[in-house]
Parts: sequence; structure tokens; C-alpha cells
Amino acid sequence: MFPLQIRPDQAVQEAVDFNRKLAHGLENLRDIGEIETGVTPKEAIYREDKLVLYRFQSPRDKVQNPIPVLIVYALVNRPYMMDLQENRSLVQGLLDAGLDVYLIDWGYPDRADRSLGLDDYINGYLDRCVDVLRRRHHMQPVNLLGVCQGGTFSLCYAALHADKVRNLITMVTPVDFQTPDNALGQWVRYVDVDQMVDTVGNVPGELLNWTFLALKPWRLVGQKYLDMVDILDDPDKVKNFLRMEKWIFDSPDQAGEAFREFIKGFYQANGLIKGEVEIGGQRVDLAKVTMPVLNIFAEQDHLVPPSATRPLEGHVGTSDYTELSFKGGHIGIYVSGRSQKQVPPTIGEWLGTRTQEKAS
Amino acid sequence: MADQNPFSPDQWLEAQRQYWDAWGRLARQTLGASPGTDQGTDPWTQALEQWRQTVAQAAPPPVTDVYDKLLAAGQTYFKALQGLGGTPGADWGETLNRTLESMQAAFTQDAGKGMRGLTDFWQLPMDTWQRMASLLTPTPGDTLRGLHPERAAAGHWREQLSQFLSIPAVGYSRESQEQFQRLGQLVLDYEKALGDYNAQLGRIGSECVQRLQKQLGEREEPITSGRAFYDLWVDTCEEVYGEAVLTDDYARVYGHLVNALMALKYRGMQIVDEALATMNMPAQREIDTLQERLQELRRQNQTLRCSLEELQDRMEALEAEGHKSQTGQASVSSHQASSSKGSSTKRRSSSAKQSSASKPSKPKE
Repeated sequence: MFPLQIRPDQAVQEAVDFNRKLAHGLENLRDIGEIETGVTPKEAIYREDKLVLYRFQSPRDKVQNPIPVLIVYALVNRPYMMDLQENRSLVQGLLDAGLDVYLIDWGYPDRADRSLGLDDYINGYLDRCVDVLRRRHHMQPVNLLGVCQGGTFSLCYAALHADKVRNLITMVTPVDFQTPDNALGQWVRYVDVDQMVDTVGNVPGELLNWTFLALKPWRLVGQKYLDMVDILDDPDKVKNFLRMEKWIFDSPDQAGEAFREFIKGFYQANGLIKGEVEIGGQRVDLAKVTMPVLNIFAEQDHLVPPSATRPLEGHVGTSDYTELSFKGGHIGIYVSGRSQKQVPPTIGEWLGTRTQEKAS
Repeated sequence: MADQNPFSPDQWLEAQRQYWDAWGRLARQTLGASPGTDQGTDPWTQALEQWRQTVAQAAPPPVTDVYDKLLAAGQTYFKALQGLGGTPGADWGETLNRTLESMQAAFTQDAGKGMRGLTDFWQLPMDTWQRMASLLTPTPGDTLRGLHPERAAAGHWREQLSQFLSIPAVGYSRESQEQFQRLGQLVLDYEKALGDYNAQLGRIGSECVQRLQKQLGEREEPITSGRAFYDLWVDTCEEVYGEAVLTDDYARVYGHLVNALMALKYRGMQIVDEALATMNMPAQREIDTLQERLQELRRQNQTLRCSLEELQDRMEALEAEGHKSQTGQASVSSHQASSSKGSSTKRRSSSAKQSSASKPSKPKE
């Protein structure tokens, strides 16, 4: 049997169908209007430089967990992925689970911010946000929910300021940066990061975009858009697609010094699990992460493979370590239907149990 | 009066008609040309491009951006299929084999030389790099795209040019001459690195073709649509590429490429800085120094503010404790008050310490 059996008339028909979808789709695209993101009402409660700390409005009828949750997002990409749209919002799910949710928006660093280092981000901005929450809630430690690189920051913070963190949740968070299946870790191995930062100053967000696209060039630069042609006649699906597209390409530049320290210390030296990372002159020792830890990872994550995040268990000092394995990828864990049903309720229950235990 | 609306179906139908005509012409042609080569006169591309240009004049930018991406993906898709012999009337078996063989030959040429002739489909990984590189060049578009990495690996001209650039500079303009010689060397280094990267992608492409042939040979069900074939092709390429980019070999070539580009840009920046200095204008490295000093001052300021707040908290705690103990003293006998003074002080300091640790500092809300 010859493996290709495409009749000429079928091939032509495919081309014609493609053209037709494209032509009709343009009409939908024109009428699509503004692509909105970040749907849950929120108020800014603290600002510093370009950073804004938000508090999301909780539904009045929910019994609240008294300890606030602070979402620490990555510096790469924008945090509205946590609250992308009405039916795809991790934030909404957390509110529904009875949590009081805060989020740090790091903003878009510009050239004046190029000297910001990890000390400024972790012992500076993040610590001051935690203090704002503690003052508002008249109590000691808060719950941290770190996402991706923000999870790594949260781990560092928890190790350096254990007295201020009640419970720690890490989502798709790299811990071991040199596992064999980690393409990003592999690619930066021989890159002279000092020369790069000295040359470009802040690292352009677009450069990171293209790096991520280069992980799967055929799928992400070609096939994905063919798939889009198939949904062009459905305005809702088109809007979802464009919303995601907006987020993917909405990448802030990276403050040069922070990028230098992160790539050299975490990726190239794999210093986090070796206990060699230093922030603000203090060594980050994961053994000092003694509060309860919930580590959530995605099984098909091509950016932070499970092998990069699961070693956390062997390095933290806590005796209360829980893992949640999610069937999906790095993006699906925030926005997929399955995630909405699985992830926020699990976080709510996990925190609820620990809050009750502490109280009793 | 003719319909001037570029979104009009009439325009689109005209584009369709052109496409059909061209397709028909292709169908009548024999498969003389190598199917793996990029056909600049591809009717699909021409018809769509013409229509796109008309639309671009009237559509808002976000729509044209998305549409450009869709069209680019569509063009890549159809070129890939046409390249594989998707022309009506073709003998698929013969064409497929011939195409895969020609691709294999193109990939295995020195330094990926033949890749320039391949369809857009195969250019996606290199295209991704070129777009990254163009972000880092000061001129619009990508100046460095004009480089021909395959030349870097072939012939002796590179060595000769390199030797020429190594001739020691002399005389009054020695330093400036050396700088430009160094810049020339770095262009050559980048071209060489790009050639190595291209060759690496060529090897990946060759492996993709082999894997695709193998997978086609092992299939039990035939593929009956162009899209299904395209999807299989993409899956195969991603699989092979995904394995290759995890190797140390790839990491070295990629690292060298990034470093070569940065070194080139850094040298250019130094030359610009020196030119600015001669005009008494601030150079980048001076701005960097100022930024670092400013940031250091901001850090010191934050530290001082925190210390001040901590001291304030301690003061308040001490005052409160003092007030409490004064009130307490009034209700107990004087000898009891006198004997408890030491322990009261002790309690105070411990309490102050606790207060300072438990009370968060006051960020400016």
C-alpha cells in the first residue's frame, strides 16, 4: 500500500475550503473588537515604581479563609494569564474556594530599571508586598502562591523569610534547572550571559518570545495558525485564540541584572538545589523552607518539565510536602477547563485544612 | 461602478479565479522542476499576496497582523504540499520519493548551503533565529540577514580576509583602525557561527526526512488528505528537532551563535560610544554607571527607611511598656516596685524585640 492516497480533486477541494474559511474569517476578525483580559474586579492597594499590588474582589457569600494568598507571578509574560477570561480564571477559582487573593504585577521594566537585581525583586519588592498584606490583616505570615519563575522567587523568599510565610504553593516552578529534558536549560549552557547583558542592557521581551517559539518552531509558528483557520467561523473561539495570542506576545523586557543573576545562578550553575544561590548576601537554603508546601506541576510541560520541579521534595525542610500532578501543559494548567475544576479547589482545600489545623 | 471595498467577496472571487487558473496551468505542466525548490512564481502565493495587499490598505493593524500570520502559515502549508507533488495529475509515489531525495541532498550539502533553496516550511527554525537577531541590530529589518553563512564554511576567502584584518595597524589612526579591524573579524566570526548553526539545522532536516520516510513506510492506514500529511510532517519534525536540541552539540553551536552576535553588537556599541565621547555626549557605559549608582542609593535609602521604622516601632513599644509599668507601680508597694525593676527591663527588651519582629514595616501604600 502506498501511504499517500490523496486524490487531485481532494487536494484542490482542500485548497478551496481553506480559501473560503480564510475569506469568511476576515469578517469575524474585523468584528472581533478589543481583546479584553483580566476579568475579575480588583483594586490596587499598593504601588512602588512600576509594581502594583492588587486585591481581587471576593464574592460576598463565600466563607473566607482568613489568611490571604499572594500570587507571585513570573517576570516573563504578564500576570493576567491568572485571570484571562470569564470561564478561564484561576483567580476566580481561588475566590470561589473562599480565598482572599492578592497578586503582584511587576509591570514593564524600562532601561532605567536595568540595575534591578534579584535582591531588589525578592528582598525588596516582594518583601514589601508581603508586609503590606501583613499590616492589612493584622497578623503574622501569609500564604504565597508562586507561578513559574515566580515560584522560584517564592521559594527563595520562603527560605530567606520563613517567619513571614504560612504556607507555600508552587506552580510549574523550576527547581532543578539542568535536567536532560529541559531545552531552555540546555540552550543557555554555553551562552555568555555577562556579555549578553552588558550588550543589550535589559533583555528584550521579544527575544524571549522567539526563544520560546524556537522550542517548537513548526508547531508554534506554522501549524497553530492553520488550526486557527479552522475556527475562524466561530467568533468565541477566535476571541479565545486571540486572547491567548495577545498574552504570548505581551512580554515585558527583563531587567538586565536580574536576568544575569537568574540565568547564571539558577540555570548555568543550578545553584538553587545545590544551595549556592546568594541573594542580598544571604545564601538561599531550601532546607529552611519549613512551612507546608504544595507543589503543582503539569505532566506535559515543555518549559518546566516535571523532572525540573519534582526534585523540590528532596530539598525542602518541611515535613508537610504535597504534590499535585496536572494532566496538561504549561499554559493549560492556568486556563484549561480541567484545570479550573481541579487546581483552585485543591488549593482551597489544602489551605483550608492547614488553616484549621493551626487554629485548633 | 466597481466595488471598491477590499473586503468585498468580488475581490476575493477574483483572487480565487486567478488561483484556479494558475492551478490549472500547473496541472497541465509536467513535473520538470525540482519539487523541493522554492517557487517564486507560485500562483497560490501570488494570488493571496495580491489580495492581502488590497486588504492591508483598509483593515485595522491588529486584523492585518493576524491575517498576515494566517496567510504566512497557509502559504507555507500549500507550498510544502505542492513541493511534495500535490499538483493535480501527478504520480504521488514517484513525486514523493523524488522530493524526499532532493530534500535529503539539499540538507546534506556543506553548511546547509542547499537550505536556502528549500521551502518556507524548512526555514522556520532559521527564520526564528533571524527574527531574534534582527531585534538586536540597530538598522530596520535584519542587516545580518544579508550574510551568507554557507560561504563562511566554503573556500579560502574567509581565511584570506581574516589574515588581512589581522595586519597590525600603524600610525596616527592606529587605535581606530584596530577597532574596525576587530569589528570585521567579529562579522566573520558571526558568519561562521551562523554557518555552523545552519549546518546543524541541515542535519536535523535530513534526519526529519529520513524519519518521515520511515513513518510513512510503517503506516497501516493511508493518508488521504493534505492536512493529515502536513500534521504528520510537523509531528515528525518536532520530534526530531526536540531530540536534537537537547544534545550538547546543539547547545555549543547555539551558544557560540548567540555569543558571536553579542560580541559583534558590543563592539559596534563601543565604536558608537567613542564617537559620542568625541562630541561630548553621554555614552551608554556612562549611563550604565549612573544607573548603577542610582540603584545603589535607592537600596541604601530603603534600608535606612526600614531601620528607621524598626527604631520607631521599638520606641513605641518601649513607651507603651514604660507607661504600663508606671501604671502598675502605682498599685503595688514601693519595695515591690523597686525589686521588680530589673525583670521589668528584661521583659521590656524582650517584648520590644518581639514587637519589632512581629510588626511589619510600613511600606508607602
